[in-house]
Amino acid sequence: VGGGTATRFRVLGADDAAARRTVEELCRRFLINPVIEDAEVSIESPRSLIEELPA
Amino acid sequence: MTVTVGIVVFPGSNCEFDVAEAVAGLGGEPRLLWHGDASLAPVDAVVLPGGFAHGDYLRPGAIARFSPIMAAVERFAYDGGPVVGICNGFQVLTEAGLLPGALRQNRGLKFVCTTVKTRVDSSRSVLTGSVDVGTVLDLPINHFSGAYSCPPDVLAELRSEERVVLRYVDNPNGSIDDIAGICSRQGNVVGLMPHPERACDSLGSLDGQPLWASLLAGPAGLLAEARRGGNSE
Repeated sequence: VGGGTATRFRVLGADDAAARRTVEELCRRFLINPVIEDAEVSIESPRSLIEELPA
Repeated sequence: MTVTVGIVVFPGSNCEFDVAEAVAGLGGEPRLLWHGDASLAPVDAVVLPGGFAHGDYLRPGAIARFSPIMAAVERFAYDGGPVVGICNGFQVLTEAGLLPGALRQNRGLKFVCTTVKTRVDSSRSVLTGSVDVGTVLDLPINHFSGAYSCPPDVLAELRSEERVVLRYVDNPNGSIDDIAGICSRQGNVVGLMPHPERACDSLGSLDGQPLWASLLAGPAGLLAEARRGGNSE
């Protein structure tokens, strides 16, 4: 049995690449345990995030 | 020579007093240490006890590894100091990278709370140094994420370096290779899922005592001697 968690958050970054690096570092150090878990990072446009998340 | 054993208390730890009683019962001096402190008080060994540090949010041990005291625990371990992680403490040690591998959820997603037979398979660790290999100990277990897991190359290394210190006789949780406890390459850092501190009084099993006696008599005892010697100069 496998379980999954979706974590969505806003990241302040100069561009998508910088934001991705930040999130991948977060995954590596904290959000997942690479021994037993995998992570997939996807970046949504700032506009859709602003519309969907509470301020 | 009294050996001082530091017991780290995280928010959500629940076995610190059991460890303290077990240590005191064998002549050691337990000292509770708060997770928020940035340094260790003078101690000869450190125990990370069982429980649910930081509520086990995210993953067991995932937040506890960032507690301020952990940097000091890591330095103590790298300097050869004895560090023992029990149950949740084992999970913290793997998250902190002080021991390899990880603890997955039990086979069948069942919480297990029972007493099991475990076999000492290596006396290379600070917890098993004076216990004969092959000794079978009745020890309580009490966990949901206790199935030890690691990549094949890590398992091969653990086996060849005799770092699997404790195995289940009858695997209760799906742990790889029946592993109940492992140690670091130097043997000074040990993690195990069973609770030897709960097997130290005459109401139940006394089989935890040889493990604590090993800790107090081994490198921790030597550290105590060196520390007291240094202080007297």
